[in-house]
Amino acid sequence: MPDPEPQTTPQHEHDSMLYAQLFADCLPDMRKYLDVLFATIFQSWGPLVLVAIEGEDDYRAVDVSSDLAPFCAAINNLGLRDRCFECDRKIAHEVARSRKSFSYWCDWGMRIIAVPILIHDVTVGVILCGQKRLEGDDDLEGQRLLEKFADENGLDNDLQKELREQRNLCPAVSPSQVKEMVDIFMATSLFISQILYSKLEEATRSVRDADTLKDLFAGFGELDRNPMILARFWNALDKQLEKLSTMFDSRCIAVVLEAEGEYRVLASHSLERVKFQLSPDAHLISSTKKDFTGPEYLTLTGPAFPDCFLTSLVRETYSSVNVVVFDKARLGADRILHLLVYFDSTIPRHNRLFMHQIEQVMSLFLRETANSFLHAERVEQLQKELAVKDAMLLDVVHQINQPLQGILADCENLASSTFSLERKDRITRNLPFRVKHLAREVKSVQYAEKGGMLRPAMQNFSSVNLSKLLIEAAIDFQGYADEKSVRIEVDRSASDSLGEVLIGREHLGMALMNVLFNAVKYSFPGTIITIRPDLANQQLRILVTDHGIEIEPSERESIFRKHMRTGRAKAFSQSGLGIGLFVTSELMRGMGGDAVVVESCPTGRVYEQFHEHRTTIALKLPQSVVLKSGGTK
Amino acid sequence: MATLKGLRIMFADDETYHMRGTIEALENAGAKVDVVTGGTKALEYLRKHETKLPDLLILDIMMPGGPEIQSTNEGRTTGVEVFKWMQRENITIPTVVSTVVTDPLILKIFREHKIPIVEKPYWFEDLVDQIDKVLNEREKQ
Repeated sequence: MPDPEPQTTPQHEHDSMLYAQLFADCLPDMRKYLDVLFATIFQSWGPLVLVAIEGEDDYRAVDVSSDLAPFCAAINNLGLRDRCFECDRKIAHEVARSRKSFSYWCDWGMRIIAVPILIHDVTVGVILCGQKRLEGDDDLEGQRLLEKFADENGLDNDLQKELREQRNLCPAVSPSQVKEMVDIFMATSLFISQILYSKLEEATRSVRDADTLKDLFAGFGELDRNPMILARFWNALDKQLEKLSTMFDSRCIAVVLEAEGEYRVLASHSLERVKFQLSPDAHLISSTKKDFTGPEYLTLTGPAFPDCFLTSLVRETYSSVNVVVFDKARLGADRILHLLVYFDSTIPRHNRLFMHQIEQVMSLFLRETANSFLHAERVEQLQKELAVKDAMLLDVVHQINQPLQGILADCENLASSTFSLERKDRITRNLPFRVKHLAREVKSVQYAEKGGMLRPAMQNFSSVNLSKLLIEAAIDFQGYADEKSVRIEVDRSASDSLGEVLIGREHLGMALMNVLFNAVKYSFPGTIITIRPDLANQQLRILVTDHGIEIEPSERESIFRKHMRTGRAKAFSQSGLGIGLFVTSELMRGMGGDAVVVESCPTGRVYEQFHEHRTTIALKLPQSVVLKSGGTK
Repeated sequence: MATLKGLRIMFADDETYHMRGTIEALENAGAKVDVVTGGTKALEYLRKHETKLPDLLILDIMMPGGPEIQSTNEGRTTGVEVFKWMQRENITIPTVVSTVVTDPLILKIFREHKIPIVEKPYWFEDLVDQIDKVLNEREKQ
């Protein structure tokens, strides 16, 4: 058997009820727009009945929201007056069903105009207007109808007389004026429809926006740890609630609660103007006081849903309290956030427009808050970038100031009368290297800053004696190496055999210095660094071998990247920007070559906590740079 | 300039090559200088000389930490960690910080404890002035 049809409210009926509610909610707003119309009608003694339609099942559901019909109201007989109102409802109901405007005779023999107010072809209200006497002969028909009604309903003479007198007080209009009034009311109806439509759109949009609130709430976790966001959050909330209070001429308090077993009042807007007391059921965790004036940040436990104790919280200043649990959002696994809006009971709780407005205002507020989060994220990102930059600058300053310190101390010691000549002689020999070292550091920073600037350096190539260049580099670094009891040796037989090479002297010199500097830095005391050139696989290689810390296989490519220093390197020595080998690699590429780690294998010895490794870095160039072989001497 | 004669100085700095001149100047002024080149090495030195602590500590900030001193900032605050460790261990030595660091956040702890700071590169005279200050302060106590 097929499943029975689910019992649902027909969409049309549902819409009709929704719109009707909206219409009722909007009446106070629409009044402003209708004031001019009412004034005109009063001037012409034309009554008007504005009714709201709730559904279409029963005419009695029609709410005579605004009855300005003086004729009906003027009737002293309560039974007749009720009949008059019932007539309004019936006609309004009829108009709602037909969704057409029409003119008709009422029981008192007067002409009435009925105009529906439509949204999306659904009648949400009706303008009933008229109760006009017609001029001239047309009025005779009206009089006849009144008498007929009186006879059929057995009205006594006094009552008939009263009705006639009241009827005669109504101004008479011509049929053409009735037609004009129909036009006016049709236009009014359209105008009202427009207002309602825009209100509906606004409300729908705010509801749609509200759907995204949960996502926005997710950022509230930030409130705890970011005072800037917290300040912006409450500032935004204050502004929006102020708007809400003005809009509805009512006091509103917003309370944000975080709840999971215990409730934490993150803050309470407007509480600086409200003295309140905690419910006896609420048990404070973070504070012992029970009276609060001003925004507070409390942690407390309550008996059940936070409404309970917070309702009692505000009851002291609000004779009757309504609570809107605006939204809840689960933050992570164990935190739930509630945003509650309290307002005094002058606003009916079921007021849909108010609810829409709260949603709208709150979504605006949340958008601002979301912007705060975005702003904070940007600031955080900027701070991270600044931190990286600061760290980098610190490293640069470190790298340059250290050799400066060495030079300064040497200069002072040279000038000191208490230093022996022997010491001064050693300082004098070392000083040029210290200055070169400083220059190399400054140039490394400069090169690194320029990135791959060295590629178009072909024009600087010149014929250089390779052996001489290697020996000069070794001599330069020996002073530095001495500090660590490290010796630098050049394989003379290999270098002499290569003779002249066509290279960028400055660039190869710089690349070699960087490799040598690293080799000395990471060598263990008492070891030897060797520099040996060779020709292999159509390439000229300058091999620098040291005995010190390992370069792990996974790090053999990355050490040539900018600012890359391996964990071992950092553990062994703090100094270094991690740009020396990057610059070396760039320089070698600029000359058509490369820099690579050839090997890093254990020797079996241990220095402090480090295992000694023999590491060889090769500076490679195309074999074509070799101009003439020097031969073995 | 005060005499440093007979003063035993613990010199915590990994840049021994660049600091050689300063160390020699201290030695030339009559001090005995023990150099340690990292955080853990500083701790080891202090433990070893627990019964006879040095008269003065010249402390660098940026140096390798080692297994016992885990600097949170890639070695940029190792000296701070060493100083904190000394506080925890109740080790009090007149200290002068010798560093390139100027970041007030990193230096905060030293300023709070009125530890003089000399910024590299510095004149030897400036270093000695600060040494005088901390030693005089120590004498007053």
